Amino acid sequence: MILAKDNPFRVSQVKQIRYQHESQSWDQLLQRLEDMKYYGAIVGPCGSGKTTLLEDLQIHLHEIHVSTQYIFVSMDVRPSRSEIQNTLSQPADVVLLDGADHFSRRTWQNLKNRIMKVGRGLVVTSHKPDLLPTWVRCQPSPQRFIEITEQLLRSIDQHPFDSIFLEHLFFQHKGNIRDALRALYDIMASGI
Amino acid sequence: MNTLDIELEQGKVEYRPGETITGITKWQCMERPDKIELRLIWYTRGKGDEDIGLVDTITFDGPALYDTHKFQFTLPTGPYSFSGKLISLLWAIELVIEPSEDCKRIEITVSPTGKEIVLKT
Repeated sequence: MILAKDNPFRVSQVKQIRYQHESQSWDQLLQRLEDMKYYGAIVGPCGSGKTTLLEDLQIHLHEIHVSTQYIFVSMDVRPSRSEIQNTLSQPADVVLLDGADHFSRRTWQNLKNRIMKVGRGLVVTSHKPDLLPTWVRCQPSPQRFIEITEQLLRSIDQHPFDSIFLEHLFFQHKGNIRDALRALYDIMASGI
Repeated sequence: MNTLDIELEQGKVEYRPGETITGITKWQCMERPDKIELRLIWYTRGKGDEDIGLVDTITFDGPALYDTHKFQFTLPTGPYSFSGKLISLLWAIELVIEPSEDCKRIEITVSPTGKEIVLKT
């Protein structure tokens, strides 16, 4: 049995894997976002790296002195109206909204209009492509999943999974890399 | 590059609840830090979200570029250090420099035997 603190797929290790765009550098991505007036969406299915990319974007924006405010919404986490108002009342050049499609249409429209009215940028994550113009489309691939797995396994200097198995696992989880990594955690925890 | 160090008395890393931890902390910084903190913490690792508990802090305000200090922490009654398949709870003492956030962390164990409790199924 491998203990939780030694499991290569523990959350603290997985969080260290950052989003990697297939073809564009961060300079190119930031230029594109600037061209879009900091107004765009990260679109992709569950577990494809949208939140990771948004978190990385926040760091890169701070590096170029663009200030941000971050709002997180999910099935389980719904900030209250006053919490959102409090966040929006803080000065920021760009609002980063993680999980925009969890708002009702009406709430989303009100929020978007309010942010637009004061001339702030708005970057959201969403499963659907129709909220804002798409800045980045996250498309998970089996190859990327295999790369991430190899990276995580380096800490234990073992590679107990072959690429056919990993590819199968990727498709079994419908391309949700987060869920597939959790499955690998369970396999390692049970002993292989 | 900043150099940080924590030395526990007699190199001891296994403790019992309520016991006192003593040691020396040293640092050598490239630029004068705003603040240096020595923290006694516990944290979790595993499949789910991580928790962290800040148990005690010693703050060195207006610290010099390089310095050495003796320190002492008294451990609370829990939680104990343990590990299972899904979650591990670990204890550590960490030295953090601000604003660079450079950090040196050493792990210790806290339990009635001093050893980590391993949960087996």
